[in-house]
Amino acid sequence: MLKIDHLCKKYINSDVYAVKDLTLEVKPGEMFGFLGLNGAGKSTTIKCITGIYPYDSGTIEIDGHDIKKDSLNAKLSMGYVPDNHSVYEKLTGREYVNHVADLYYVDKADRQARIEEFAEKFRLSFALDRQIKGYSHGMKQKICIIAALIHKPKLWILDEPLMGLDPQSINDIILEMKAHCAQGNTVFFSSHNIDMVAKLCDRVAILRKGQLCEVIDLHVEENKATLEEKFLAYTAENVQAVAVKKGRKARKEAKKAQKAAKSAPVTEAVVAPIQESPAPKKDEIRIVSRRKANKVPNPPRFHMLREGK
Amino acid sequence: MRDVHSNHAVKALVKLELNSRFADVRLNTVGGVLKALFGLIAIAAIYYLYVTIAESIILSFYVYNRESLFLKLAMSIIGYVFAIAGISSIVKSLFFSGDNELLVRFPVKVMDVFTSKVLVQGVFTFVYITAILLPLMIVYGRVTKAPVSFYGMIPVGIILTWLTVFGVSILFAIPFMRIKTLVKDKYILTLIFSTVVIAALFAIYMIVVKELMKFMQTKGVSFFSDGMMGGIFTASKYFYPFAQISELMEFDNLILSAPIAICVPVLIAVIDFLMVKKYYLKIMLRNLEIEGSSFSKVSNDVVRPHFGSLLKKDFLEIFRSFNYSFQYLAMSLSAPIMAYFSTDLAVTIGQDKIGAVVAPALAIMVILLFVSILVSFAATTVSREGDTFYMTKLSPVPYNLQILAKFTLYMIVSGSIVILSCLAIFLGGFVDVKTFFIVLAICLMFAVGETCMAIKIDLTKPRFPVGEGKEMTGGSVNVFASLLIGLILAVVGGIWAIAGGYIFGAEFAFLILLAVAFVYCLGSCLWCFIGLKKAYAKISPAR
Repeated sequence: MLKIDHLCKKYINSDVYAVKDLTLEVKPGEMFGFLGLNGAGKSTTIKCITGIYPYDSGTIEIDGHDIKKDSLNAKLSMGYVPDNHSVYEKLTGREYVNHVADLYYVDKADRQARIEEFAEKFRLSFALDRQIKGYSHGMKQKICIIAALIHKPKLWILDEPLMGLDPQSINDIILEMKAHCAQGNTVFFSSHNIDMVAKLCDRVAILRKGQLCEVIDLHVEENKATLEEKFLAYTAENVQAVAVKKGRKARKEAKKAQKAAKSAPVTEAVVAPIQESPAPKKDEIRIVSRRKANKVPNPPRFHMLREGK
Repeated sequence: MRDVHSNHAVKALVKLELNSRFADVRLNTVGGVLKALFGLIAIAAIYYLYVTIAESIILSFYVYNRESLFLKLAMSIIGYVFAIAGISSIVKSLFFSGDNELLVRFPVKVMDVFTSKVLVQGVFTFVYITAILLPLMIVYGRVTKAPVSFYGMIPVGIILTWLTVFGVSILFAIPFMRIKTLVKDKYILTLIFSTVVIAALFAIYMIVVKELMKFMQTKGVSFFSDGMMGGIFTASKYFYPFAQISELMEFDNLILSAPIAICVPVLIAVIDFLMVKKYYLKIMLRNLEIEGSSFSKVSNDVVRPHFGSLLKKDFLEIFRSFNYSFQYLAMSLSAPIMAYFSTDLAVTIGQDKIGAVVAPALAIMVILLFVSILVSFAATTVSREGDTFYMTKLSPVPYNLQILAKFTLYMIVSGSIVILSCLAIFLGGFVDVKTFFIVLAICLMFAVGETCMAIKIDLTKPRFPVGEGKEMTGGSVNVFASLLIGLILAVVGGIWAIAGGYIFGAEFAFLILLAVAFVYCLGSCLWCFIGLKKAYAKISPAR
């Protein structure tokens, strides 16, 4: 469904690769998670897949269509929910979804049925005829999801879809993601919520500094249990820092994982080489110490609110 | 203690405001230094031109012994123009700088927020007014051989003018904002009101100027004749308080001028203070609240072709924005009226001196000038999309079609302006049927060419807006470039039509202009639409 082959992306005026030699294949019916720290290259990869960003080398195929050579068919096969939930805010929710439906050739009967279905599912019926400008964060996210699903895409891509949502909305979206996969479609999403990724996904990829560390099969129970440790091991600046936070057992796991990341490829995944971690610095270790991590900042003062009296 | 805290807060906010204003100025790169250097050279050139022109005008008044009238008129015009322009700047600074929501969260009193914003705005207004008035007054003093006391009064004159201008701007800015919050989401009403006001103000202005010119022509009097000067002198007495400030500077009519010149700014300042204390916070919070509010509109699920859907979306994005609707639609709707009156005036002045050929030539120039101004809006085509630009890239619709929809929208507007303006000029009796069609063809082809050029300029390097609301409220380099090209073409085309018509005959001149317009139109279209995919691929929205 999604095939990325040796993708390389460098931003203009930058010497560093945002994404380097990324190779990945996601199958139909699969729910695929994309993990990494902030700035690891998750969103950049997603924007390359969707055709938003140009890339330097490599190929991306969606449902057999190359995003560069056969972009229109590739785009018709996917739906995308951006991380910043940007939409045409001057339009009403219904106007926006109808506009997207027009662009994806959705006929009248289908769009009417789907708009009603999704609006009800995501509890947005009451606001559908309201201008999007007045929507809350969660409502904007939901209208983006409805618009992304209006043409029933084979590949549904979501960039950090659950950030800042209430538990009910999170549940609604998770149910829809599962239902989408159950219909033989693919869901590809980035997230920072490791527990949720472990519960939901069939497979997960960990990205670090634009390079793929490992693709982990979550059908293997052990992988599910150790996902967080592996993630921390791959993404931490050094093993000691993880160890301070997680204890002796974690230290062993982390060392093991980091060793594996440096050397051997994992089944069904292409493992890109990881740069040698720099020697630990004192203050880096101190940052993750419990004492400082638990320190709660002072509450903000609100002198200015008195003005409102 | 509180005062110390407050002063720190104001200082910090002023610093923040200055940083945001000068964020683009970088002197640590060769490009940045060159840019600054070119800017300075341009300013010096403009200054030289300004001083030279001012000197010759003052000399003309001096010869007729009317130098005091010049000072009154100059200070009044500068004062009123700055006051009106200041309203927009103050509104933007107080309510739309994008940081109000952020600032009310800080432990800072709202009055401090107001002071910081007003202080920075005030300093800028003072710098601009001084930059305009100081050289003018020095030249005035030198030409009119003014006594030393006049030079001593220059700082007083500048400060009083500044206080008045700044006070008036604040005085109108807050009620304006209040009205704006009341008419929010009433798009048609706002559009009609803005159009009527713009057209009416322009028409009144043009009628007054035309009558003045006619009076001078029929009576055979010059601008400096006793009758003319007497009339202007009587009228100038009512140019409060700038006329009185100029009188004070020359120690003229001190009994009346001194109290008025000093009391008016003080009175305005007091009213401002009371109004700000009572209403600023309320209106700011109200604006913050309604900025996030929205209207409801029940619509049906209608299937549209790609082109129709894109066209509708683009239109609504402009129509439902106060800024864009005013900048583009209201100005466009009033353009034919402006074109009619401008042509009327230009013909009144020029026909007797040059001949009948001047009417269609001037009509072309006037229409092209308005088209250039309005079409420059197309130079924000991509930039205006801001964060939603990803939709353009994501849509399974060819870029050519997406741009064609935008181009069509602009052409519906600019084409209508051209057709209505030509009709107004035809119905006004300035051109015959044959010339009407020639002028129409020339202007339409230029409009197409300029629209394509503006789109391509923005496509090459879009400048996505940042900040709250994320609308493009100020002019960008792209708009300026498009405007400059349009204005040059309008002026050159107009001059050729007049001069060429006079020398080679009207038909030949228009034929050449028609050919040039065709080549320009075709060239711009090809430049815009060929290689569109590559141009789009290069654009990366903000990370």
